[in-house]
Amino acid sequence: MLMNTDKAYLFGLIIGGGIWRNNEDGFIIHLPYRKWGSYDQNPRRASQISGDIVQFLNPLFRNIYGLNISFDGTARGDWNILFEGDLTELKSDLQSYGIECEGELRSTASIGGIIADLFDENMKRRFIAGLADTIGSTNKNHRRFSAEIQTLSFELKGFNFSFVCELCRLLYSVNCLPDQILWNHPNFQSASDSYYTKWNKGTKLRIQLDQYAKFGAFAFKTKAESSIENRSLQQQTHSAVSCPEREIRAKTSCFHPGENDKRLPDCIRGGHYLHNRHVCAVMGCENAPYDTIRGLFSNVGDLIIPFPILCKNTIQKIEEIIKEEPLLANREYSIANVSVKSLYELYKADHNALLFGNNANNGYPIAKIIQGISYVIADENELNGARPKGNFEKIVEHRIHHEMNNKYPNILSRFEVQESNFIIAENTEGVSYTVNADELNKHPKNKSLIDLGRDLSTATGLMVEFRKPDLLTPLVITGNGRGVLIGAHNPSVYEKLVTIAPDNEYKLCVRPITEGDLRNAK
Amino acid sequence: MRNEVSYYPEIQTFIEAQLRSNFLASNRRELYVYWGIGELKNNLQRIIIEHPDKCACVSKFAERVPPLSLDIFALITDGIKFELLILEIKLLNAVGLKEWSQLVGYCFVSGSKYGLLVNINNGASPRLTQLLHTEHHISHIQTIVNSEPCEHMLGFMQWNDLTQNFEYSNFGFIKSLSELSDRLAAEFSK
Repeated sequence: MLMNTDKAYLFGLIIGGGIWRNNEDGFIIHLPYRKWGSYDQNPRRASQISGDIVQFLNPLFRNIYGLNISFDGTARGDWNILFEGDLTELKSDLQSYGIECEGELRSTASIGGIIADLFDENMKRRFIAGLADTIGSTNKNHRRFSAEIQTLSFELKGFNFSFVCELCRLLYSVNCLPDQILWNHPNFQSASDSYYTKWNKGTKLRIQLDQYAKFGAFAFKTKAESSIENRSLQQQTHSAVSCPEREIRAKTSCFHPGENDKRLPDCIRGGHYLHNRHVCAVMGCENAPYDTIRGLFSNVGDLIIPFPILCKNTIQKIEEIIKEEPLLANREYSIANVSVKSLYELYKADHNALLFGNNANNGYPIAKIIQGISYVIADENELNGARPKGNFEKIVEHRIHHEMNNKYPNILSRFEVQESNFIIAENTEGVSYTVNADELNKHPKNKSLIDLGRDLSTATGLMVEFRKPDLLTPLVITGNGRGVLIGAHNPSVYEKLVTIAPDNEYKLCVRPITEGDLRNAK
Repeated sequence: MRNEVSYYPEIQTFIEAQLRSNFLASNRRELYVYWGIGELKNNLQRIIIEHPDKCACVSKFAERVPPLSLDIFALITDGIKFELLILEIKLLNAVGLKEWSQLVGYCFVSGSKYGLLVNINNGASPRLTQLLHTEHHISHIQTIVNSEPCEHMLGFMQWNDLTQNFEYSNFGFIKSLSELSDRLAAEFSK
């Protein structure tokens, strides 16, 4: 097959969205424009998409492959390009690059053969444009931290890690430096919760839009316009840094049973990954920061936890998890009601404090405890599933304040005992309220006013239940029908669980923790 | 408000990139594309002076071609053979027979084998569309000049300034840049 610039674009489009079916539908190109391309949510954009298909794609397919196309779509924004005509030539072209015409191509195809035939940067850009028009999402929520850095996200379903690597290399070869790869792997999709099973969300290869505008291309007007709109949200233009030069900030991640998922590629399966570029190193990418990745290994006990860092669910589900996990089930738990306010004050004083440890370097991180508590005490309308809406600190502060206001309207820091059965609370406007002291009968009357104030704002305030295990297995916090598991920080024990794979010096393997590991550490 | 001339550079860049890529893919060697805006004869002579090693093959043609004012043209050569591509670029709501006739005339007079009518961000009039669809001889014209057969292959395309890309119309003999590239590649490898 002879490659040309028009075919390069079409191959990008076909690899990005092509699905071969065994029934009479034959072949379609699926455009996964969910929400973004929904004619319910954005009729103008939907109209533009249909224009792109009819005015741009149809003549191109007719000219190159003699195929006529039409389309259908769903209200939620899935579009399908439908083909009429003899697909033999198209099939034969794909097969000449080793691409099997079965199922969803981007899940299984290797693009190495096609890439080798893209003779120069221009042809590479045409291929990339085809991919970008199908699976390059310009949804506004693709951004780095804030709207100031907008990104294009190539959305790749399944476990075709080599496809991601090949695409990344291709982008590199035209000076378009990818910003980040969010791999379809539990260490990234569920870094905190080892019991979260829905981590198979596909890989996202993200590029700053400024980079893509400079080196990439779109052929769909809709995509080009959307990219311009998103870039207009930025105050300035941003440059990208190549992978070897970029700083690596590895966060602690938990061991997840999905690390051994059979669908993962052989070279990845069974490994634990500290950073998205750690995967690149194990995959053997020439742009991976090998030395920096190896540098992280000396700190591996701090970066890997064999328990969930923070697992949030209903109390029933949390209890099921404990029951099914012998190491957790066989623990003795001491139960205590703990004041949220006192914990929160501790957290504000030291975000890095560790609680209930048996030495200075282990224990349950207060920051995770407060995050867990924010889920436990939040109102339903303050949660998105198990995720607090907005800042977790604000939720905790709001709930503490709300609880106090319910019991003691407008109570402030100054209290005066007027009669034996009542106290007076004074608000900021200087208006006094009397509060029935019977509610406070556990407080001795002869306590100092300051102490009484402190007791009012802590001991009688918002409480959650702690179930503290006899070994440093996860701490359980419950309340409100919800529960959380908090894994302990315990680096000296955890580092002993990690080994380097015999066949790959960058691949880390984590074995399950045992009761013996925890007892011997004592 | 941009005028049509302001679009010339981006259209030139795009066409040149596609032709060069495709030639490299098919013939495994470089193709050279030199542009002239305005008068053909003088521009050809300038290009020959600037690139004598690649454009010596054009010298005789440049001597005999009549002076002719064009929008824009490309001298395409592999250093051994050459072809001319004339672009008639318009910024109109719809291009019609008048603009097509202009392109045909320029191709006849210059002897250029390839011609593209390009409208920026818009298409062709229904009449031109109908004509190009049914009357194939108006986009593939064969003549005899000085007892020599002469061929002109023309096409109509739309330039999209947002995507910086062509939208093909499928009207005319040359339907795509890859088809134009194929013809050049075949010609230069004879």
